[in-house]
Amino acid sequence: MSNTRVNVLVPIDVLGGETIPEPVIELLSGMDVTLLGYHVLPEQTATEQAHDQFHEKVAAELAEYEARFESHGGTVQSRSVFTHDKADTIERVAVEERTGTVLLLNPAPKIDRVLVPIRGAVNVDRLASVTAALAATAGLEIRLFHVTDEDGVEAGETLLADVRQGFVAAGVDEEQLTSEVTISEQPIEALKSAADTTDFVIMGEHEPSILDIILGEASTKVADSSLSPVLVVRTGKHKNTESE
Amino acid sequence: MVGQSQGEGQEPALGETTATTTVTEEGSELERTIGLTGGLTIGIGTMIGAGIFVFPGLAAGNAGPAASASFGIGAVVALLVALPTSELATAMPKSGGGYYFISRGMGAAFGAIVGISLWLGLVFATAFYLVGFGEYAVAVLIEIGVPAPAGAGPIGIVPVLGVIFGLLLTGISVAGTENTTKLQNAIVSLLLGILAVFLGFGVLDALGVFGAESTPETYAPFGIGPVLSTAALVFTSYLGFAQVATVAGEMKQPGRNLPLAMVGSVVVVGALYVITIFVATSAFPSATLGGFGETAIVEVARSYLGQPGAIAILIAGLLATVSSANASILSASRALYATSRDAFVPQSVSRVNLKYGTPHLALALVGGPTVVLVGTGQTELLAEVASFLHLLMYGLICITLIVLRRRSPAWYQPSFTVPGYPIVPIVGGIASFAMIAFMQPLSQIIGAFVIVSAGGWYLFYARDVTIDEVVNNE
Repeated sequence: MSNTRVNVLVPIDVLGGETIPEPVIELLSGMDVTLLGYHVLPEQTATEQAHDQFHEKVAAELAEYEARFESHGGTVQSRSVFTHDKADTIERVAVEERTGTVLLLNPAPKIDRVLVPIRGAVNVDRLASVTAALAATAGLEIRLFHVTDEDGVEAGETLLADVRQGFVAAGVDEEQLTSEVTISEQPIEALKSAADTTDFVIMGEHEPSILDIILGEASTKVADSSLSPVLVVRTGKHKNTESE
Repeated sequence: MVGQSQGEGQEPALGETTATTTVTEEGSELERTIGLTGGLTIGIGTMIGAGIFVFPGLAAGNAGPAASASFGIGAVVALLVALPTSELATAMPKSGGGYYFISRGMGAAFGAIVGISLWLGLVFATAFYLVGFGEYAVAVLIEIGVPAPAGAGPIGIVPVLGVIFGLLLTGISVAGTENTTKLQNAIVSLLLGILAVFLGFGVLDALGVFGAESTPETYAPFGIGPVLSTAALVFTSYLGFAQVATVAGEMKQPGRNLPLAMVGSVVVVGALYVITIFVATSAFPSATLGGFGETAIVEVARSYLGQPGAIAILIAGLLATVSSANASILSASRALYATSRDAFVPQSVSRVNLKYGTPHLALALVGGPTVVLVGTGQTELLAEVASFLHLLMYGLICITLIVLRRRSPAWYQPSFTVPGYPIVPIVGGIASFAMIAFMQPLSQIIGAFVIVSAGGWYLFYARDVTIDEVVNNE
């Protein structure tokens, strides 16, 4: 399990001033990285038009990142896309590249502690193998985290114990792992404050609940409000988003 | 190939066009984000403002109840051109639409003239929609009881409101608003909803379901001549389908969606126009309709549905004329970009502003001349010149199709082919040029002046420009 290579898609708004922090490049050096340099255009502008003007600049920026990944021993390829719709583009490229994970960028001065929120038993195998791929490259502290209401504490502890075993089986060193069950009525808020005290988040992408549709995907909310990069592990059963 | 290839683990090759992306020669990808609904919205949204909310009164005044035949003729001509345009668009799904096809099929001189006259044609069309908007804005003010400013009267207010809104729309475009597509979709859906209720009620009433007599009147009281000249006048109501082709580079599944969006939008608006005239001429004698002018349809709605109907149509008229103007500004900017990409006009014209992400200069070159033209307030003249410049392009599109079919270059691989070739493009081309012949002399003079000026510009500025061959899609 642990020697399965994990591929990760890193979308980056190159001309919008987004950057990939050095610790993130180091952390991802054990994975197959696809850099997706994207430039979002308002509907007033033809994608070709922006391409004519900016493609050289985008290509130069991406080449620089490729060199930095390679200097850490990572494998990397890059694609550049001019688009009106960032979500469409990321989804399409993730499907074409068969990437299991997508990194939402945020500043990261150092990466020592990684938060892995666990919602349920679903998707845990994939979370475990991704975490194992990262944990192998650095001596990280991995914090398994579950939010529940007062009645669910016991069940939550059992869940985390099972998950912990799964992570160890996937190749994560037992010494690196800590578990925590938190009681809160507002899971997303609790998750955000936990993310504030860690340097990096690995979380599953879930089927959207009605709340997610109103508030936006949980992983995006965590990435937007915390200062940590968030690695989203895709569920793998995605509909091909066709024309409409 | 313009294929439907898409799926897991497939990365498009260089120069390839797939359902969702185009890969450029430099290896970057251009995401296709406009679906069939988006394409239909561009077509319908551009067209519907004029045919229903501006022309019915003018057309009925000129041609009597036979104005519905004028709109019918326009729809047939538009369809005869939409089919060849669809074939060319699926072979060359690029920004720039008609300009791109003609420049690739017929060479630099035709390309330069069409590029410049398409830009100005859209400027005239935008000005026409904005004058229509001004008429509706004034009608709204009158409806809610605001007295017209002393001395000026409604005549002077119309262009002023049109100019203000033209500047506003240009400013919004330069600032690069997000979600304009979603807004446009919502507006078009709302318009279709309002029209469905109004026309549904009107048709039932006209057929005597509610017991009301419809006004008996000679179908074509002024003969066939005014029917044809009215067809030329109202052809501005059908300019939108080719605007779909100006965003061909951004359409998903272009091989399927481009023909559906172009032909579909012509069929939808053509049917709505014919029904609208039928309903309007059943409610009032055509001379009375002519007297109502640009906002005649408001009085028709009032006669069927009372004040609520009039208010609904007033609001619909404001939305429809604004959405037509907005869509035309964006298409004109795309046309200018395509022309400058080939260096027929300075390339700095279409530079994208990094802060706003929009081609501010190109948009200003659309908005600026537009507000000057709006200032004239000449609805019929603006409409006919816009039609003139578009019809020239439509005729050339039909010729381009025949030229490319005969020359059959390796890159020409349309995934949609015109049914009834060569009859459809031949008749379409002849009909396009024939429409021009039925316009007012002043419109013909101004249109010809624009074309001669464009030709002069080509000789003066761009005579040594050569056109790049079409990027091979194989």
